[in-house]
Amino acid sequence: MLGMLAKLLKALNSETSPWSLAWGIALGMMLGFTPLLSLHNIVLVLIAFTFRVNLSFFFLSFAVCSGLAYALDPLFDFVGEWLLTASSLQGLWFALYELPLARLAQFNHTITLGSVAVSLLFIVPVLFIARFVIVNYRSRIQKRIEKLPLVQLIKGTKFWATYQKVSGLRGGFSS
Amino acid sequence: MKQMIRWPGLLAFVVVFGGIALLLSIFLEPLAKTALQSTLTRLNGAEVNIAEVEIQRAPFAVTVKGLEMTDPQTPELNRLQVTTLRAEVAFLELLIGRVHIQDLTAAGVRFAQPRASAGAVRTREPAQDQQNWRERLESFDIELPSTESVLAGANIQTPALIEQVETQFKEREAQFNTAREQLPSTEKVEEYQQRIETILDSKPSNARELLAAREALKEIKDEIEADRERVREFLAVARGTLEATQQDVRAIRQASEQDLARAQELLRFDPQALTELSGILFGQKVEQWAQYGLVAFDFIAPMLNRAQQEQQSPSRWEGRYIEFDGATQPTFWLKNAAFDVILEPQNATPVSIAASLKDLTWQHDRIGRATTFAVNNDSAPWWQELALSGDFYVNAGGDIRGAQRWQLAGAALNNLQLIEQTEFAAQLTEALLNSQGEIALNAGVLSGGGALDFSSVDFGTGGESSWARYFEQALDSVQAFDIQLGISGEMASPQFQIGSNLDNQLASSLQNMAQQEASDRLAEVRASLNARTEGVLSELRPWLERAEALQAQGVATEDIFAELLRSEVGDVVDAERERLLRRLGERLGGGG
Repeated sequence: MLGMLAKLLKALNSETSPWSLAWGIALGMMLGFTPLLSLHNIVLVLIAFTFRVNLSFFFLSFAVCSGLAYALDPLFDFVGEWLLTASSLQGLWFALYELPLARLAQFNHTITLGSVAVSLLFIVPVLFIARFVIVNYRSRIQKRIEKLPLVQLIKGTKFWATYQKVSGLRGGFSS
Repeated sequence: MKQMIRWPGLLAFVVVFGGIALLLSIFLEPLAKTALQSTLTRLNGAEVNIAEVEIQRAPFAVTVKGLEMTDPQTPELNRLQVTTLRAEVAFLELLIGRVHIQDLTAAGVRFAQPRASAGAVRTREPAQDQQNWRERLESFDIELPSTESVLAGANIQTPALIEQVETQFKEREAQFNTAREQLPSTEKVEEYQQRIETILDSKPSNARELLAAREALKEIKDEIEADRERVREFLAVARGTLEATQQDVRAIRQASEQDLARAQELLRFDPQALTELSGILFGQKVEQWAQYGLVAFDFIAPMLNRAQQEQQSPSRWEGRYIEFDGATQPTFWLKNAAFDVILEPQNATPVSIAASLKDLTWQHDRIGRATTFAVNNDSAPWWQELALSGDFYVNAGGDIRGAQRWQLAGAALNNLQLIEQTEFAAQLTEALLNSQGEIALNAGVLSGGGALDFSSVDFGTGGESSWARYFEQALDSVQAFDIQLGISGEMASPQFQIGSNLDNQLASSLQNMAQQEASDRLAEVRASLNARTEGVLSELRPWLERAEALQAQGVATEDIFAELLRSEVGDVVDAERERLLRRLGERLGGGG
């Protein structure tokens, strides 16, 4: 647990690309919002693992958003129902219904479609907001935080030693 | 590009998901077996067991070995059992949720086979409201009551009446005898006559003699009057006694006749008891045959219907699936199926027959044609020809319509157990069966029926019931008969009506036997009643004759007394006056 937290802080405080962290948050959000056992989630995991997406933030975002999804399911259900019953889209849905890949993706499930649609709608804003927050954190907030008495106290703990050890490492999936 | 792609990550992904795919591939067959068992159990409504499932990837095919489907009505039996079943399934259609089976072959198909242990029943199908032949057999009783039980149970009145009559008669007889003893004897009557004649013949010549004569006559009349009163009393007693006794005799005869009529009623044989004998004998067996014949309607169609209903129920767990079914393809479609059905009739060599099925689905509107099925076999060792064909069509509203025809020629039946119960057992030892018929199915309701013609028939019977011997004798005389089978009611719970000329044949024989026996019993009852009545009547009849004679004698005596009492002495005077007048006339007129 300490290791995981240390990795997160290291990624946040290191020279890791803000885009890498932002993509981790955005993709983790989509993975968390949508039902786990879905075909598109395999694609998300493939993207996260294959490209230089920060996996710590990806899993953190996934965990947080999975919790949020329980509260947001009625919204996803409403959006999915609205889309699937929209008369203008009926031709598309009937065509997809005959495609094996679309059926495997469970496009006709209200929560699945609703959560994917909401995630796609929010992924770009989340991406840019996350990058903006990370960049500003590093340039303005990081140094002020380090001067705080609480941080000074933390620096004398075992956690800080672990953090220092992780910071000394190179490579791995987080960079 | 090199910086963009994280090769260790890609490798990890491939390893993880490749591992999952490998595990799924290794455990695909056990998983498929579990899934198939679960689905078929749901559709069957009772436990379904599968020994082994094999999956072939190209072309995609599933082979099921050792399929056993529990009969929900009789969990100790498998209603369907298949040794090997192979289905070639369209894989892409399967991915989009449709089961399209191009070819299905089933070997070793058996019905109603005993299970190793009773299967668990998930959905208890409604019990079929069929005629309970066992209850009918139990209520069937053509045994006539014995003579003793008839006499004991027919509310026989004669013996009590006889006893009452005998008591009353003794009292009346005593009264009669007492009255009779008071009667004057014949000698005394003659004496009265003699004495009166003497007085009348005395011809008194003067007034004194006349008065004396009259005095003597009066004395005699007083005596006669006293005796006449006794005679009258006797006649009154005799009249009452005779009338009462004659009334008793008539009452005894009437009571005896009424008792006999009641006994006759008890011994009367009710022809209604002989109806539906063919149902009692053949009901269970014919219903069993009909159920086998209706397997397509009774088993497959309801199962499809249940599958359709389950398919239509939406999944509401975290959202719902919305169907965009263009109604172009059926959800389930078995295009061609071939079955090797093994029939193992009782006491006969098992025979394998080929059955075929085309276009099995519950969405016939989408394929534009009905499901058809056929069974043909003309090479079985114990029949000459068997042909069964039919079709059914489930429309969009879920209504099922269809038809089924069958033709069976020259089926040799041997040692076919019809009924096996303690009170009665019957076996069709030998017979030749021809059968044909047609059943229609409209909106799930069956109608139609068929005929079963039995010839060269030989029955065997047994049982502890006393009327089993009636059946034995009656069945011995049957050489040939036919059974008309009517089928009606809901598809899931067909009703069978059985009519047969065997009823008439058996009823005629049994009625003759029973009537003969009833006549014998009635004769015994009549003899018993006659013996009792004749005992008392043989005593009463002679007595009545004697009493009537005594009454007649009393009446004659009373008449004599009346005549004697009319005699008067004044007659003597008148006679003398006439004599004197005659003599005077002779003197005066010279003899006029």
